[in-house]
Amino acid sequence: MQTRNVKKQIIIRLLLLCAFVFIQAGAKADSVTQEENKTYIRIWVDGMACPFCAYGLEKKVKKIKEATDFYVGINEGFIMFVVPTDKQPSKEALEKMVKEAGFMARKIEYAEEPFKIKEGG
Amino acid sequence: MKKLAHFIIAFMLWQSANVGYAHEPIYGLGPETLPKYMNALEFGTRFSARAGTFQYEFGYGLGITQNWTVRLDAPAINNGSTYGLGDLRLRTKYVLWRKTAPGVLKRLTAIAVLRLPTTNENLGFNGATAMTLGIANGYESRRWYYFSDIGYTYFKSATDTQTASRFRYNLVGGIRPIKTGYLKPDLVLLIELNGELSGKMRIDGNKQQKTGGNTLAVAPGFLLSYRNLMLKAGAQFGIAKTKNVNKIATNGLISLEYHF
Repeated sequence: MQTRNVKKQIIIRLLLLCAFVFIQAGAKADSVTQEENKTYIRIWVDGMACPFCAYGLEKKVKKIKEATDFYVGINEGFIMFVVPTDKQPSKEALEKMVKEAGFMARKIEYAEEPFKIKEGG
Repeated sequence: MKKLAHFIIAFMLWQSANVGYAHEPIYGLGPETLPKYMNALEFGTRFSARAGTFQYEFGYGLGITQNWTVRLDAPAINNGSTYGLGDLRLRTKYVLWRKTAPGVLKRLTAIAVLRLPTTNENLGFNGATAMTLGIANGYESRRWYYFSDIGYTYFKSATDTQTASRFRYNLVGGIRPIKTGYLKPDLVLLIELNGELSGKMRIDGNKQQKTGGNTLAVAPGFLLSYRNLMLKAGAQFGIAKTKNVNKIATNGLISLEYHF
């Protein structure tokens, strides 16, 4: 009788463990899917001479829905940020945004992986 | 004599009446405009040694487009015994030409300033509405700054004292000694050469022979910014004059500008 109870306990615990492992795996898969659905945007901006002026770009980028991780490479002349892929703004919209901040977008890059940052700022 | 005293005070205030936007000359007109829909608030104070006045200035600017900015300045004056509103100024700037390169911005900007005679009589009111038209050019880079501007000011007086028209010119050089990152304090040092050529003042329609001439001043200053906040400070020293005008009186200013 006691042996039967022990076996029952082991089976229940194994089932719980399996359930936990499946839930964890599912969560990880979701997070990987979300990671894959991010678009990294880098804009090479001409005319960006000072950090105070670059704030105009920060303000514009923050108006893009769900844009995160805004970064300015002031000495290299680019800005970067991340958006969900399904909300990725068009090149035309980004060019307009940069123009309204008083600059010129020389090159716009989209990537699925983060861009490498050399500047320490 | 009272008229002349008022003229001198008004002249001193006019000398230091232009606060710039962002990275541009402290005393000159400057080509800077705000980004589209950017708001700017500025609070500053100035001291004029000869007039013995403190002027507190509150300014609000708005970028209508990336090329067109409007701004309203409301100064308050304290001459030791009296305190009151100074001449309200409405300013507008329009970028006529812009050229960009990596880390470089060149601009040519047209400027118009309307100054309304709202100063209290005890604080230097001369009843004159002033209109300034000017043009400014600028070169900004990560290291060097160059600016130059010219402006012509015409006064329309409501009293018998007709202030003479003035022609102002400025040459400015600046340097950013350390090229920092975006989220670090950014310092720019400036040195300005401010000149002014004024015609003859008229009282009751008669030209006053002992008025008019050319003055030249030098003004070192700095701009210290952190993200959307900028501290500006400068001092202006008269170095030369011709004919019947006084040297520009030593004056200093400090102001804080916030963009949002």
